[in-house]
Amino acid sequence: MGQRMMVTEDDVFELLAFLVTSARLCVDEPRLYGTFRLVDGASRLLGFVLESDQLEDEQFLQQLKDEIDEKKMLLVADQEGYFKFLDDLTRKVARELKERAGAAP
Amino acid sequence: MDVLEAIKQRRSIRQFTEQAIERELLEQILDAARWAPTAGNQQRWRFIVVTDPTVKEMVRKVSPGIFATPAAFIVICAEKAPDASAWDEWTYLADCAIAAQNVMLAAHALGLGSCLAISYARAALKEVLDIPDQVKPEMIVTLGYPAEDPAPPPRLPLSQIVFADEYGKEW
Repeated sequence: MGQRMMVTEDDVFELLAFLVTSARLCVDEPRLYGTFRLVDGASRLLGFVLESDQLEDEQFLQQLKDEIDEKKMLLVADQEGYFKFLDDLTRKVARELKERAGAAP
Repeated sequence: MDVLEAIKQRRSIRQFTEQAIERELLEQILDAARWAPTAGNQQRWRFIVVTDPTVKEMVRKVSPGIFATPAAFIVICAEKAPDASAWDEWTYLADCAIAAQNVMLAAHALGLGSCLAISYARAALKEVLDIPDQVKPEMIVTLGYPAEDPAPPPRLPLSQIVFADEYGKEW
């Protein structure tokens, strides 16, 4: 924890392309698609980090990625469910931040 | 396969196997596309078939709405007439959408999966595929052998969307 992680140049360009093209799409797409791009981006970031095999404890991040990938499409099928998923996601991340802050030396 | 059967059975497929699509199948799909009707028979659609792995990766990377790399992309473009009006451009979009439906139904009839995507950065896609100024990429169809079998999404009943003789009157 606290160590700078290495990602590959390919990963950087993949995420860069995703972020800048998403930024352009957000100009025209429905407002809620922007939230989708952000959580999808979070999943992609987690994918790179998990693939890098440099985590001391990957369980939380793996579960988070799995949950995003499983539930992100709720946006088109069940909007209320999608909002709840976003609330749950932010709550889980906040809890993890607190735990990590408490565990910090 | 019967047309009505294909219409009802087709699903948007977003996960594909790595199996390549035979050129003969792609030709059948593209042939179906060119038989789509166009406004005034103008036939201003153009189709870029992307199967090169490096180019496919670039297309995917500039397309946030595409989550997995398929065996092929068909990028459906409209080549604008030099004096194209706003009306003409609207017809190009309609024509490309009709051709896309032919692509997706033909693909389904041939055992392939497909999905229509419009969430890509146009300027970036034009750069990646060297698309000239007067040509607009209107939509992308992803194609491949399906790696998923999604359940049919709900459809509104006819009673809610069909009216008789005037808007809102029960059919």
